[in-house]
Amino acid sequence: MKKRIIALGIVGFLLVSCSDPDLKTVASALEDTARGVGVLQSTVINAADRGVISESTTRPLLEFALSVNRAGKVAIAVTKEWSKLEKNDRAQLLKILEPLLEKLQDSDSFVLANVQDPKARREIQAALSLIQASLGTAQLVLVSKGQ
Amino acid sequence: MDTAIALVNLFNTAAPGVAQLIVLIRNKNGNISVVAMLDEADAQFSANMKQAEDWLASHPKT
Repeated sequence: MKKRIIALGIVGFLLVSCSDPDLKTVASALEDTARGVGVLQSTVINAADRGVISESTTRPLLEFALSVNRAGKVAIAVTKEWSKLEKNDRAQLLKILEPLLEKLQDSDSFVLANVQDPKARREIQAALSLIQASLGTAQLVLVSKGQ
Repeated sequence: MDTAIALVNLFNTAAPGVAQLIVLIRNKNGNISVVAMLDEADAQFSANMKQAEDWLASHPKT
């Protein structure tokens, strides 16, 4: 019984000491971003398979997706080291995520200019919006207390 | 966090029932759930990378 109480105490301590709500929001935003990129890639590959977008249109979109995936993994690796977001941590994460938000706007323009099929364009833009919303959430949380 | 889970597993040997608590905690607001979310995201990013790289490799630039 005594051992059980000690174990519960340790778990409780870990929970109390490591429950920064902003950190949780960032983790959740990264998870949503990963899902959004998965949706984007599947949509783009599916459209390419159906022949509604060309390989020369598919390639840059998947290369963009790859850059988000790589940055996402870097963001996760650094975030895993923290139990609470300090000011410097916020700046470090913003430095990783903000270039992606800029690239997202370029990708959206690229889709508008190069994807002629309305259904494919709508689906790809929806996936890009999902990624933008997720990264935007993380950015908002990081900026809110990072100034 | 791996250390924390290892610790809990250790205690669970002497105090059965703690393992169920781990499952409970993973769904709550603690750091373990943050780590679980980050693990999920990491696995998804890896799967995405493989999918994109596979497509790019099978469609080389001409």
